[in-house]
Amino acid sequence: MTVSIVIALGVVALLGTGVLIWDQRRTPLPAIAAGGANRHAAVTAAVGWASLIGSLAVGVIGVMMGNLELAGRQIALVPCAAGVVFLMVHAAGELTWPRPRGGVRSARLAPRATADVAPTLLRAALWAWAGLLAVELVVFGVMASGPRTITARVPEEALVGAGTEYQAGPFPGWWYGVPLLIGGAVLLMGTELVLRLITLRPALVDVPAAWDMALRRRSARRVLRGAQAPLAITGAGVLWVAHQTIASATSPSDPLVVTCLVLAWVSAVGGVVLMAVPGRDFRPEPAAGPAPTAADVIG
Amino acid sequence: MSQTLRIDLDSAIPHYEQIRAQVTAALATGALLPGDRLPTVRVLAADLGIATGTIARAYRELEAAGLLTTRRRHGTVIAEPSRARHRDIGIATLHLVEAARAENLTDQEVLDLVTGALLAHPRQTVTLSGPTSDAP
Repeated sequence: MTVSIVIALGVVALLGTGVLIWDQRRTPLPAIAAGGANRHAAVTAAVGWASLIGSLAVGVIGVMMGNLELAGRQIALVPCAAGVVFLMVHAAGELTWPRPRGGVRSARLAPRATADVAPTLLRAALWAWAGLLAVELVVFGVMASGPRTITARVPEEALVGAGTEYQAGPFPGWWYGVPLLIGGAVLLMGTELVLRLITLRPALVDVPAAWDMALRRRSARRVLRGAQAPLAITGAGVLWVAHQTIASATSPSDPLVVTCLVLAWVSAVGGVVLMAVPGRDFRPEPAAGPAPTAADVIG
Repeated sequence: MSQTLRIDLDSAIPHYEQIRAQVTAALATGALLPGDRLPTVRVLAADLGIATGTIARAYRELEAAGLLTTRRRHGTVIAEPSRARHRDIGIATLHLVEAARAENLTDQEVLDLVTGALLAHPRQTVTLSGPTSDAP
């Protein structure tokens, strides 16, 4: 079992390294400092991906094979925990970003904000998954009749115990809902914090401004790709468990059951696809305008 | 806007003063225009690798001089010009720099020319007893 986990992690690490080498090859390097910065970002990303995928793999395989004896709540928190480890790696990478050195320092007088750095759609996806998770946890928490059960009724046409009520579970009531809400909030706030660190990291001055921004956007894209997936997977898991229990208590064709099932698949597939698709941040930028002349100022 | 700020950490001139002078010069020459946004104190401090307090002080001085305004939703922006008399001098300076570039003069040669011109035409200070010169 342990050997199979190690082999699986090795394959993932090799694939990740291959993707990173390919990814770095297509990055134009306009200066020596750019190479160092790109390397720092690539190493951070490699360790981040390894920690995220490794944590998820160990958690899922360990629970499935029975090597990890975790309670239900702990199992539910595995994706969030993997996401937090991933964010901690990226935070460490940003905090160790090379600082400006030398007696003469320079900086561009150009403003930048997190909104300029973080890809809008990925950031929206992160907030959407977090919102969906919060909504489903609150709805299921209100629906639940116990901490982790829902009240079901034996059908009237049943031969034994017709019309009697019983508790069906496991159901994502507040027993699971509260820690998952906290886990989701930590993941969301942690991601925003790391995006802020990326915005605030020192700019590279011996490269074009567009190149520096492209590297920043690449880092932000990696963080968002990795951080949105645990939220989506957690949401999908909650919906899947709820769908199973509601289906057993009512009927598999119940509209709520179908809705949960569809949303679970959308969350799971959406989260994994967004995590897997890399972006193209190093696009040719339009040339910057010339410095203002006296004629420009006179108008 | 791609104005670059440069500070010399070993210079005797305080860091905040170097920043203040360069922003003022950029405004005078039209490199910065009213409404242009400046980076936040934290961003500029991170890029230069110096304390946020230094940048904050430079911004405060510029704000006190009426050159910057800080708006809640827009951050720090260049203020509308209230000192129109400096506009002509800024344009004249740009003409000077364009002419110097056309003649392939170095930055130091241009500065030497300006320094020489300043020494040849010392500033007249108005006092109660009549105009006096700054020159020794």
